[in-house]
Amino acid sequence: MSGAGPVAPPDEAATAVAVDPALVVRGVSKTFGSTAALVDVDMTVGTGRVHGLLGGNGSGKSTLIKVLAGIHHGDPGGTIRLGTREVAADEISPALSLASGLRFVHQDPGVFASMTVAENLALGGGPGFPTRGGRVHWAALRRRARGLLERFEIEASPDDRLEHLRQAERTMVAIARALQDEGDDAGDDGRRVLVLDEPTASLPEHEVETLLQAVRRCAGHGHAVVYVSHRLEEVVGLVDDLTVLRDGRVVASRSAEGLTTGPLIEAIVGRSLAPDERAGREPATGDARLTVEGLRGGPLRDVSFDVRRGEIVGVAGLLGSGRTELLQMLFGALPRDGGTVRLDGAPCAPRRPSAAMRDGIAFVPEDRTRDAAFVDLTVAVNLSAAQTERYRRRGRLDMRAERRDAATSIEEFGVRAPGPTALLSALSGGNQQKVVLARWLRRDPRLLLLDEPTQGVDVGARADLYALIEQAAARSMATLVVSSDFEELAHVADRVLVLRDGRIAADVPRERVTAHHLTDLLYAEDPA
Amino acid sequence: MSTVTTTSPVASTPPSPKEDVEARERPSALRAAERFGVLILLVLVVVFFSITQNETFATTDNFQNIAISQSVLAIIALAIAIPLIGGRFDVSIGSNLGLCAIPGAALMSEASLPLPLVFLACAALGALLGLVNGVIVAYLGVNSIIATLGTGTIMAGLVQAYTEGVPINTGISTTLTDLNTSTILGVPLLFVVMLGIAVAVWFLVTQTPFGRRLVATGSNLTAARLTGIDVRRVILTSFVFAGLVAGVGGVLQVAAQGSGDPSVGGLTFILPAIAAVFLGATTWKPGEYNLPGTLLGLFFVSTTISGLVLAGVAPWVTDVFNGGAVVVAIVISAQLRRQRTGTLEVGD
Repeated sequence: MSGAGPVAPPDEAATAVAVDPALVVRGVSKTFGSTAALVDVDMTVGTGRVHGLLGGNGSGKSTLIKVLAGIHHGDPGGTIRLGTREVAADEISPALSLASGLRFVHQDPGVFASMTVAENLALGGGPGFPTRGGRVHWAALRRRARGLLERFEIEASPDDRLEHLRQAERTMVAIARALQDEGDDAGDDGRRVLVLDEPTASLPEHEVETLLQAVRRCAGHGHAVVYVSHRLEEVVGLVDDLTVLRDGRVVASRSAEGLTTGPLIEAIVGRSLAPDERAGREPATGDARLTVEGLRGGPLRDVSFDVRRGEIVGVAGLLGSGRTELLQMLFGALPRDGGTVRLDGAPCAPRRPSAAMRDGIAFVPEDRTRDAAFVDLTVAVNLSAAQTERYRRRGRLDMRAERRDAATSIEEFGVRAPGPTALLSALSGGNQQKVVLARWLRRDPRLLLLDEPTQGVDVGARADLYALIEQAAARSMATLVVSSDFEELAHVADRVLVLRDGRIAADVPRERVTAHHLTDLLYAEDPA
Repeated sequence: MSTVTTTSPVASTPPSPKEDVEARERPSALRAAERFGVLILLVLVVVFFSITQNETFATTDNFQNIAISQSVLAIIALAIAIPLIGGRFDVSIGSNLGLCAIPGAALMSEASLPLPLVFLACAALGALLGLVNGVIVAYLGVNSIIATLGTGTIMAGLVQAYTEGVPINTGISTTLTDLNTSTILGVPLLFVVMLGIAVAVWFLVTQTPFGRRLVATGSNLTAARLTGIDVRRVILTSFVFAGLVAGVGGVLQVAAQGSGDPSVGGLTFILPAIAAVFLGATTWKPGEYNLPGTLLGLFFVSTTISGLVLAGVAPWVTDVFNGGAVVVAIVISAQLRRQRTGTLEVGD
């Protein structure tokens, strides 16, 4: 992937506004092994301005935030300047980041639901609990909390428990907590750079505006805000300036004046793969293998679709759309409230994963480390984990056969591993993912469910994973692949289902599957 | 089991230098030190006390004594290791064993039941108690340490209720007590029986599909569930097996002591066994709970204590040593786990 996007490169007029920059990022790069997550990134955030930081999955947004927070060190050479303070990107630490005035509120704002507003404000940052004679001075705590609530215009009382507040207000409490220091006489004016990472992703629609107003007020008070969001409509209405990242590079940096979502999407997804560049897969014409009708449960309200034999169907949906739950329900890992599922015509209602596996369903979960990998066990054990019974010989495991098959799988699936007896933790992320995929493909499933199969996987391993999936599909396996990487869907899927508000909002045929089109559909406002 | 350091000839993926297979391998000398560490310590301890206490320590009698007195404890350690491999703690094992010893002795003393039936009955009773623990932990979702602390205390109470604190020492099968006195080629019979049980447990946890499911559950419970393993049943079964081993151990406790002793059991009683399991996880196969390591750990702890006692240290030293061994061993095994997985969790 190369070249600048269709949005104009750094806009002189825009950068000129930031005469008094609160945050200046210069030449920051970050490489993980051989993967470059950030390449020579520049970003200038003006005091009192809201700066949008945009980019698709894997664009480097999260990495940049983590470098700012001091969780990752940048590569040597880059600098981060906050006000008058300059820090080398490879020397930044969480303590230094905090001392330099950077504050972070994440999508999960990290508040304590069962505690009161006053307690939440005292925990994690700020002056902490006021005490008198070793005891918490509750009156002083309440007084201070009331002051903060007024300052940040939050409609709550210090004694309210967070769980009784609306979600937007919980996030606002987290923001107030991050910005509560008023500054002091020793050169600290109390102005901060606040980084908001997807603050509205899990907010109900009608609370979004409440939070956006709070964000504007923060900027009005002289704080600089770096605002990360996937919701482009919202970004266009909110930010003053913006930076777009793609593949770790800045592809657009400009003022938000006169901005519309169209060119933004172009900048985010970049050049779409032309149809003739895509793998020349024959469209699947076989019988329906999986038929889902009126599936309900969790965020899913009424989901119906089918997948043919040999077909690879993508599922696109925003965070919280129920895309993961859909797969888990099909796999029997989550209960359903209603609806029917048929596999090759036969009713299929597994109540646990083992039942789904007997029906020939396989599931590769999103979070490999948490949900799929046995990192402290060997590659051979990981490969055979879903078919241990196959190696039972008169009550015991035939471990020689297991290792032999593991060696075959390592070769067949192109896993780079020292051998079957190496621990999984010795492999790179991409190769661990190949092991997990191989674990399921070995069972020759009728239906393969993939949740973000290439997240955190480098480009080379990614291509291998696609090839493996396509090979298996050629043997009439039906595949359902959830991904927030639209390039990926455009590349691998025969058609894409767009999941929105608990329903299939669109079924996009292969010819029209482009990252651009999908983004449009996903962000489309519902007529309702 | 020797070299794992060779690089794979398979490289279908185009170049992605050194991000793969980044060497988490350590120098072989260090690996050997880890693998044989406790064994080496055991040898050093034996040599040390043989020199300093050559009159009393380095005698056949003393070694036989250690072997006999530690065999029951070794069985406890083996029992504890089973649920621990699945990530769950059974601290009621000592009480379970103590409880099974009482009806074991009573069945011989009052009902004159033949020995094989006594073994069978006690194994069944132990397994039943394990089943109760397993149900509480796996199906009622209770923290295993707390749950088994509770059930273990109940068991100890029941023993007191039945015996009123008086040991049962009449009518014990002589075949049974002979286990304690007979030797094969100088090795006490009880020790040999214990080794037999160790082999059975080893077979269960390393050679069977159940053992594999248990290891997977202990490694990553969610991943195990999402690969179709019925993790609740696996955990439940691990407690049943632990109880079964403890039940058999109860009868052997009667053999070792010649009576059903109501004072056997409890936390301090099993502490050396717990230390042994964790020491075991630092050696032989470092980072995994493993049975050869467990036995080495136990005999390291008991030999050291025997030597210290013979050297005339005050009794409290034993407690400090046992407790210290648990803490040191568990700290080391946590560090080893970090080397394998790359993360160190907050202890729970």
